[in-house]
Amino acid sequence: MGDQQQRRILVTGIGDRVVAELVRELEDDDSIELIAGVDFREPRRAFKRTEVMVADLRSRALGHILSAVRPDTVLHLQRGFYGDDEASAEEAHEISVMGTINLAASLQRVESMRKFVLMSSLHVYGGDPMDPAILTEDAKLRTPAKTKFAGELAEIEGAVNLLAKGKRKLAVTCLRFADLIGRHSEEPMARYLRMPIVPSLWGYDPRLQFCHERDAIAILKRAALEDCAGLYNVAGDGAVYLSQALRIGARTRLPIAPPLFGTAIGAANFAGLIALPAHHLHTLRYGRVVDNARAKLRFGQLSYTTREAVRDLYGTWAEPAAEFKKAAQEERRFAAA
Amino acid sequence: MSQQQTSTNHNSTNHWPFVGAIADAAAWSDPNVQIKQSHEPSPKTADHKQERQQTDAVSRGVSRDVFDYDIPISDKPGLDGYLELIRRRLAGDYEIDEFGCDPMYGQMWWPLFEQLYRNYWRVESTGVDNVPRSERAMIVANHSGGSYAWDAVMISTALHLEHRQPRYVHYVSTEFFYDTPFLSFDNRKKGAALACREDFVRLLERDLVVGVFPEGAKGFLKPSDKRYRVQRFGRGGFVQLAMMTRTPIIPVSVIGGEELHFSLGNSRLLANLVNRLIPQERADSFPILLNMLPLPVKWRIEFGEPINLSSYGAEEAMDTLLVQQITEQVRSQIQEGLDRNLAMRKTMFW
Repeated sequence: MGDQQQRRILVTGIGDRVVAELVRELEDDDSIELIAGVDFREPRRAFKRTEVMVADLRSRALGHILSAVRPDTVLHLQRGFYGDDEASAEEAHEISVMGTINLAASLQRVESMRKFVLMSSLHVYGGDPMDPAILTEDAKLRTPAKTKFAGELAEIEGAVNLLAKGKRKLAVTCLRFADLIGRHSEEPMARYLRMPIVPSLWGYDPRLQFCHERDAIAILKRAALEDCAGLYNVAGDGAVYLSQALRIGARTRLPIAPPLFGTAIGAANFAGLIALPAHHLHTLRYGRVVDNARAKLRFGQLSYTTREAVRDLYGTWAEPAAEFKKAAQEERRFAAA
Repeated sequence: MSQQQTSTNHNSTNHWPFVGAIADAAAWSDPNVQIKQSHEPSPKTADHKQERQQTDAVSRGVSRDVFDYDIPISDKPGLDGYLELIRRRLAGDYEIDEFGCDPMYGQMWWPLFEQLYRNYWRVESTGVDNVPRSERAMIVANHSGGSYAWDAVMISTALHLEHRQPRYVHYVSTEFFYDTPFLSFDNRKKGAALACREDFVRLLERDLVVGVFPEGAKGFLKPSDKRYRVQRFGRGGFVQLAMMTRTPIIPVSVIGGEELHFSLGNSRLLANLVNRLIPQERADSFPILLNMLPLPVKWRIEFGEPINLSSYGAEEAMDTLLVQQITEQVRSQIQEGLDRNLAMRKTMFW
């Protein structure tokens, strides 16, 4: 950034573990005058100087928050699905889509606003055998969307894009992340891959791509502090087959015939073994690989390739993520207290 | 098939230790196939050694993508190399590219394909060296098969066994293959991509050899009475892309693939039945085949003279009339190649 003016940042979705981790890193940055976090869930972490507010983005409280915080940067990191049972699918839709629309609309009135960062997901592409093997940012999104979640994400991205075109011409960064995984990750795919016996679709072996949580945090941090308006697909280099990922983790694959696969995943969800939202079923059939060239050009090489991220998930990666381990311990202590 | 020829071919490709490792497995089961590791050159191969050095010099001169052919996985000779391979496979310690091309998986099939190529179908390939050694190229062939795309397999095998610098062919296929159980990952792992503009251009930009069957399903499901009559070539999209990327087109005529099965025609009823049995299956028609196993017919594959399109560019690619003309030219060259090779053949079986 050219001007060394003090920043005021508003972060949504601070109840999320990855987002909390990011905020803790941002706290150490002296150029940030104020950090405020909003979520409808209680954050599970303690912060040094972040003002945490529990509020729903759809509510009128948002207006008060915005006028109190007077942010110039908003990091909208509240994602449309939750690994736990705190929100059902309909609720998640309401919270994410309507919350984003309300947030975007309210920000039109905030004089100090300059920049908006959205954390989207590669699930916005849905999944289809007609998709090219490698998707780019320029690829047209399918309408109607192949999954409900893809439709919601497209709606969210559309609402946010209006900010760039609107009166205030905000710098909008949209980051489409691959499924996040990491050693202590509780993200849906991480929990799925960590099961001792992993149900997979019989006759299909999808190509998967992942982004390591640390890379996600590093990129979000740079997006918060630097000028990088645009749309980016963020994923680790390369790809792995599901079968390959499970071999890396020495997990047993349980092939299930297509009509029963959804039921099996549903049962595992119900039993609390995993929390895999329905849109992942599509990915586990067709797989998805994107071109991350644009993100690499802007944010530099990611520190984990997809395969290294998988190896880290299973703890077989040579470099132990020391600070993550510490953070997880701290989180456990905090939850216990 | 003489033993001499078999070993010659192996020696010429053997400077990738990995090939030796896989092929060794074949050697155990089949005494006809003699494979030597590059580490222990056989005493009678003085001239082969020289040839190999030459090939090495060639391969050093050009930059090769690992996925263009295969990855040297272990430097250990013989059984140790093979064990290393299995160990790495089980540990998931191998690399695939973004297209899902898994060179090891492809390698796994070579022993079988080689047996089919040499002993079952006794394929005779001509003009293999029309395929460039390192530059991009587009292979356009008549499609056949009925049950499985054996023509694609045999073209790959011909380039693998006979070409001086073996090239791996990346085929583009329709979405049908990516929604059908087992074919979905089998195709991807063998390096195939979807027949769409994005995949096509991306493969060519990596200077790979791309294989196309513009006849599509019309060719694959050709009834026996229409054999060796090349069908209409789609809308010529492949010519447009070749012009835009300045890729030479190599017309390939495949004789044999169209006689593997006696096909009476195609049935929609059968297709519906299959669609019922396999969920998500979207077959339009299904061939009525009299024999299930492919017949041991005599194959001939002719790689024609490359059609150079380097004088054209993106502008000419928009000229639909020109595109149609070139499409027709490719089609007629393939048809001529078919006629020529059919005349050379005495009967269907030899």
